[in-house]
Amino acid sequence: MVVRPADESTETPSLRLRVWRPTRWEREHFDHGRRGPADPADFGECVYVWAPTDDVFDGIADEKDRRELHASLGLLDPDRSHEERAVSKLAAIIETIDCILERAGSAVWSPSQISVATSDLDRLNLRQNRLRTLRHQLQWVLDVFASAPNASVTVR
Amino acid sequence: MELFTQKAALHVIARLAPGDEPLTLSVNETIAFGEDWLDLGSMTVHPEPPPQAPFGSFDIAAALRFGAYEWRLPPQQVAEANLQNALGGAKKADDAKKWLHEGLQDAVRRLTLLWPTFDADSVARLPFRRPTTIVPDTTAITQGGLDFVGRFLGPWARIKVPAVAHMEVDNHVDNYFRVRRDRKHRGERNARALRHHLISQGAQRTLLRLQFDRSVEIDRGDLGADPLRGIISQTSDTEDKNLGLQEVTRSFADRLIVETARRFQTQVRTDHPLFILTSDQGMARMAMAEGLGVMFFEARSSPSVYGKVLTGCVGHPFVERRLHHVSATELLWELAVSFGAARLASSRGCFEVHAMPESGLGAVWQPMHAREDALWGLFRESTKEKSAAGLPQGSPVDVAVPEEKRTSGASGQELLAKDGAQKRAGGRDGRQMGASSARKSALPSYGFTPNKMFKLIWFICEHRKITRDEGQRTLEVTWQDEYLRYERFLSSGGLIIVEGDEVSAAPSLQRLKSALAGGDLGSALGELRAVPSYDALLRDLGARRAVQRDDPSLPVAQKALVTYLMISEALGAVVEVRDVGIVCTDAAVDPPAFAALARTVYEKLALETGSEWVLTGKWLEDLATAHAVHPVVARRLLGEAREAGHIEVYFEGSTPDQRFDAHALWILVSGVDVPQLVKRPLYHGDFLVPGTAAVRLKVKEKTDAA
Repeated sequence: MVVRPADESTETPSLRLRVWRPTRWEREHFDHGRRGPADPADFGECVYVWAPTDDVFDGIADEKDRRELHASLGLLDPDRSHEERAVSKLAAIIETIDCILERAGSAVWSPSQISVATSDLDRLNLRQNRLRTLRHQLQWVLDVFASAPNASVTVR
Repeated sequence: MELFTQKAALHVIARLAPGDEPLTLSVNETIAFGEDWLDLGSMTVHPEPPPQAPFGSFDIAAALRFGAYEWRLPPQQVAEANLQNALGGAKKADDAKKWLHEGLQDAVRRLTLLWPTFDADSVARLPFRRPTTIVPDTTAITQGGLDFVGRFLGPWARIKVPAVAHMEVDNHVDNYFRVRRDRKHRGERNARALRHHLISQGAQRTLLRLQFDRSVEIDRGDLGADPLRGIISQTSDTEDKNLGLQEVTRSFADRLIVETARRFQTQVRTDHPLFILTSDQGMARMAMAEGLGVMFFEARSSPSVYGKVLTGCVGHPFVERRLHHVSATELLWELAVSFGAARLASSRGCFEVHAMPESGLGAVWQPMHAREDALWGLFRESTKEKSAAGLPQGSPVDVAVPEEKRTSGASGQELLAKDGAQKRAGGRDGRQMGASSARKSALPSYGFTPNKMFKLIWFICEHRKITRDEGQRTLEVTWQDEYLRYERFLSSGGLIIVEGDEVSAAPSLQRLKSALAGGDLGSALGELRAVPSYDALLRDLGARRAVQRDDPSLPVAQKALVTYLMISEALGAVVEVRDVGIVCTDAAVDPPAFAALARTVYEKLALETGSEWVLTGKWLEDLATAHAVHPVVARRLLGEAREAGHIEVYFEGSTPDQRFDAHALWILVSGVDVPQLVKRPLYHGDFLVPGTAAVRLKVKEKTDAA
């Protein structure tokens, strides 16, 4: 049986992924800044949000690989237009992660902040390959939202 | 073959994976593959590396249990070639490629190692924020959609499994057994058995798993309340005959599921959200056309699992800062049920799990097995490893599961916790195989939970004489052999007297109880040393002063070692210092001598760190490693030395540094009903001075000025 971790960390996550789709307003909204009706095209609604438990970059041994992943995730910076941040862009990031994972010793297994109770009244910190966890998540988000019209994704 | 729970199997598998060597994972379907096994890739386990893995750490068993592994599946061409080899010219071999692809994909989704590819709209509604009813169809049960809901969408998701879905699963099961019982073609390999096995058994396991998982809420309608249920049975009603309604067609089953959902919706508030969970497009369209909500996921068209690397520990899809883990045994169990048998192997041996063994092997099925999720297993150690361990070839394998239930024989209920089982249950992980095997079997040692032991001691002392059943109930353990480990530990030290089925307290047990209740650690230790295996361990540690926990020459089994060290640490006999090992702490020091040691250790640390404030935890650890003074003793002596004016101590309070949280020790908490062992961080200031945050200290010689 799968046992769920009992406690939760309170640290700020190293990144937060959000999936957006064009907002669906049933009524008109007034934009006080533009002094006119708001244009729904300017707004997106968040339909999914996820953040890793532990710092993903700490799970990468090589500084060069860390920079590479950082640059790759930068493609999904909220400053970019939503067309540039299309969900399909996740495929390129997954490819980058795969390259890092393939390099022996680059993505390491390390203890998580999350601990679980064991039968001996003790607690153990779970261990995970943070980069592989991120890859798993991104692949699922890509699979789910790839066919959603005009969906975009941000990572910050 | 013996019956294994997943917990018991963990320790056996741990023996197969002691190093970096990957385990090979393979499956067998007896009718399709005969005695051949289908290779499904390899599994690498990732425990905490040995130098940082002291007592109570994330060892191999923990890594297997908490999903710290990677399963590398073979590429599609390799998997298909493996399949052809395993089928060995069986009928329908070409079709079998598709069946394997689909069946494996479904099993992986049921395990939640891969998640269903839901439609974007469905995910946008998740997680639920109010009670929501999910009505799964058969595809959702078989293909992993329902497992995802059960594991990730609680507590709001309420599952209502339509009776017709149960019936469809049962039909699949019946189809499989028809092939299995086919006497005409007995002995011939038949790939069709693989298909029936894959689509029936895994689905049935999902329904059982959800039923026994208390965190999952399953709604059930009234008996016989499924609408249109009568339509699938033969009827003499003329009108039904005229309408052709007695002919059961595939779409009727789908229709019944929609009708179940609609009917349920009439029984709840109109705004109660309800979704049909399906991977069937036709079903989804029909439900939407009827105004029902749909959670649709792709199963057959989703990307292949071949060539992927799956890990057992991933993030929760909806809850931040929560990890989801799937144990290696859950994986092995799911594959065993889906295919018939699954096997993990390394150069050290192999462990096979059979969900449906041949009847000639003496394995039976009982409802108890489903409730406990127990399967029949077979552990074979390689001849090479047995020779290396100094065992004669063919000698019984020392399976490391002393605390687990293991049944054998036709009845499936006879307990194996007799002396013979103890002989077999040495309780060690793979690292500990070696010359110690013979010593371990010569001197039985016992793994148990100390706090439960205290509870049992209190119960026996209060009642003077108890029966085994009463003892078992006191411990709240399901299996008698688990209780017997407690009893044997006490009886081996003459602390109890066992007569038939009754157990009575010896005078030494009363003395032990009084010592524990009063926090008299020395006296409690003295009474416990009457247990030969415990005394042997303390003698060994006393002679060697410091050892690593995984030292193979320690005189007790691994599982017992964990227990014995917890008790010893709490009673002040040893302390485990991270990065050093287990240190014997038997120094008898008086307050003046302690004052001198305290200053010496402090001055050394102050010099090393260049600061007059040193960490209290580090100071305590160095007192233990350099001068054999246990932290609990040091805490007492520090107070006495200060009071007597031998020493002056200043404390600096601050927030504890979490880097040292793993530096903790077991201590005995007395003064309550039954004492408890609890783990306390050594570097938190409140260990040394209760109620404070004295994280750093300064030790000075007492002067008049001070």
